[in-house]
Amino acid sequence: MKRKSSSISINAPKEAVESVLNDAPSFITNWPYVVRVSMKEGLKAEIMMPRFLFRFRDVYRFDHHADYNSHIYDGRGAKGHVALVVTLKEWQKEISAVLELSYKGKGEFWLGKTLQNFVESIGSVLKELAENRPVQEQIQTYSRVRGGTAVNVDFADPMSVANFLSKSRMIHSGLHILGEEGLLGLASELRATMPDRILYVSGITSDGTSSFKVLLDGSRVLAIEHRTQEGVKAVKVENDEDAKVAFDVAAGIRGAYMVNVWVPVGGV
Amino acid sequence: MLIKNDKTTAFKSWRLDPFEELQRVWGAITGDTSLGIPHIVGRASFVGGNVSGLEIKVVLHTEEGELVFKDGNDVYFIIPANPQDGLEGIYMKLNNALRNAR
Repeated sequence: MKRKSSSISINAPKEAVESVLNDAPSFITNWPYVVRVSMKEGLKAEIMMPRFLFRFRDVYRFDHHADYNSHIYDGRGAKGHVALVVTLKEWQKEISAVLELSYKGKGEFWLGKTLQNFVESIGSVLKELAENRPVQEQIQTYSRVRGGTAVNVDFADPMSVANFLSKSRMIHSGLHILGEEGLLGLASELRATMPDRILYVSGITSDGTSSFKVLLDGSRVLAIEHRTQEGVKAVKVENDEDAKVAFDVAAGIRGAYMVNVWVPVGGV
Repeated sequence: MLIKNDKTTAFKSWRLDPFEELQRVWGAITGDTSLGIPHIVGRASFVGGNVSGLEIKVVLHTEEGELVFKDGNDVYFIIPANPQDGLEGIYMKLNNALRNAR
C-alpha cells in the first residue's frame, strides 16, 4: 500500500466545493491519468498511470461515500485498488482540502512519484472546479448567508458588528461629500456602482468629530448610527416607526466624510 | 507550573463602545504620518470576560509591529493602525488582538 497526500486551499464557498465532490462522475472525469469513464453498471473509470517506459492501466469501479466533512472515492480494479479521501476544513472564510490517495496493486513500489503527481493534480482540479462553479449558484448561497448575519447587526452591540465584519471585506474607500440629501444621496450614488444587495457603509470626518455607520439591504436601512460631539443616535430598524427615525437620521448627515464600504462574503 | 486565569480575561464582549474611543483618536491616526506609522497603544481592562475599560493613545513608530500581552485582568496592546483600513479595520484588529492575548 502506497499513500500520498496533498493539501490545498480553495477560494470558494463550501457549498461549491461540496457540489463538485458530490458529483463523482464529472469530478473523476477531470482527474489526470483518467482515460475513460463509463456509467454502465456503476461508475467505472479507466486509469493509466505512467512510470518510466511503463503504463499501468486498469479499470476501476468507483464507490463514493460522504459524511459531514469528508468524501471517499473507493476504486476497485482487476489488478489494483485505489482510494482517495478528501477532507474539508473550514476556518472563517478559508476552505482547505486535504487529499490522501492510497494505491495497492501492480507496480505500487515504482509508482510513488506518479501517485504524488496524481494526488496533487486532483487537488488543483478540485480547486479549479470549485472556484469556477457557475456564479448563479454561488449568488444564491451567498444571499441566504448574507441575510442571516446582516439582520443581527445592532450598532449598540459591538460584537454583532464584529461578527458581521469578520465575514466581510472592504470594497470601496474614498472621500465623499454629503450634501443636501444627506446620507441618502451617498447611498444611491454607491448603489449605482455596487451590485451587492447588502452594504455596510461607514464614514468619519478626518478629525474624528463626527461619524456614521449604516447597514443597507437594497433600499432599506437595517441599522444606523450617527455619532457627533453632541452624542450618539443609534437605530436598529425593526418596525415602521424605527424606519422613519432611521430615515430622519440618515437625512441629517452632512459634510465631508472618509467613507468605507464593506460587503459580506460567503462562508459562515 | 503555569497558572492560567483565562476565566477572567478570555474575551467575550464589550461593556463599552470601542468605536467611541477609536473615533476620539481618529484625528491622530489620520494626522501627520510623515514621521512614522501610526499605532494604537493602550490597555483594555476585563471584568468577567467583558471589556469594561479601554484607554487608547496613538504613537508613531518607524516600523510596523504588533505587541499584545496580558497582565492580570488587563491586556496591553500596541497595534498598527492604518488609516486606509478605516475605523472598522482597526476595530477588527483590536478584536483579534484581545481574543488572541496570552
